[in-house]
Amino acid sequence: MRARTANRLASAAIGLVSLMAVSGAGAAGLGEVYSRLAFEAADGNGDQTIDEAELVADTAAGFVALDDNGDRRLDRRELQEPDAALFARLDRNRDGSLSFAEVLANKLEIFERLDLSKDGTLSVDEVVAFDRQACTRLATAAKPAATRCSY
Amino acid sequence: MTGTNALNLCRRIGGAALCLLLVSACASNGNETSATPAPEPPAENGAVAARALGGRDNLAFSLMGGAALGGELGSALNNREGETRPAAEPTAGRRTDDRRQLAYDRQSERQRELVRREVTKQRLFEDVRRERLSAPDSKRTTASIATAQRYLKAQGLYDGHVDGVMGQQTRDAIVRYQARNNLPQDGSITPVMIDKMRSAL
Repeated sequence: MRARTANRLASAAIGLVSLMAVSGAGAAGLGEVYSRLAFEAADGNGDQTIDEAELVADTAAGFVALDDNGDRRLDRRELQEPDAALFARLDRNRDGSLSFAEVLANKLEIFERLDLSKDGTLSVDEVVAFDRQACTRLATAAKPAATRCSY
Repeated sequence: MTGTNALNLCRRIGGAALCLLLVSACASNGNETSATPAPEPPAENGAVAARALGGRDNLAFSLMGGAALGGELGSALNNREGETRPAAEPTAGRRTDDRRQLAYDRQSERQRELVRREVTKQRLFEDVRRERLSAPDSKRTTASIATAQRYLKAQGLYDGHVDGVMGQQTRDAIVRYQARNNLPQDGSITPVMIDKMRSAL
């Protein structure tokens, strides 16, 4: 699984390097690089679209990576002290931590909103466009590295 | 620390391509990272870019809806495997503990289920016994006559009503049954006979 992700990332990186070579280095900001790499890593079956199952698997991988104490909940510390309003919006039962269900519910809402064609898949362009817009909107909310949001 | 880890990781998983990508993305970036002096070794640039991409901040941010995806990427870039072995130990231990806990839960659930079944069986048995003991004699007799009539009827030996009354028809039917089963033909009902009839069906 990890090896496969690594392979996918490697090929994605090669693809992106050639993309940047063609379009002139610097066409893609770090944010776009992030989005495209994230897309490649999440596209488990490599069909260049993200379906709901891949979104769930991707969310789960991120959740587990952040859940340091393994209690299957993410508290504020594990989430790097996020913005209170954003946290409160996600914490639907108001118990001070995010369960996987709460995180996933938000992701699925995003998925539905993005899936304009309603065919159950997202393309890389849709994902990049969303990330660009979300990054500007939420940039102060969750403290991403400033470089991450340059598209 | 994270930056160096991520850089090592980028070398390991993405090879030269990813590192090169990170470096060029970083160098072409319009803000703070581009302030890094150009003559600096590319490894440093790569570390900055890898940190920018792979930080926990980013993963938390995307997980909370700042990006549609990013879980797999963040988990690959944040995984501390290789460099910090001690940190991996507790995780492994934790998983083993989880598994043990699950196995234990399952086992105790199975045992509880067994106990539950045993208790139910016991209670049913008690109920039947109590009923038998508490029923008045006449009622018990009526019940067993009716039972016998039902079984006899099922075997085609009796065609009267199932009324619990020991009449001539019933007695004849019982005698027929006893004759067929090589029993003394006295026309009376015993619990053993009823049990036999039941098991014969």
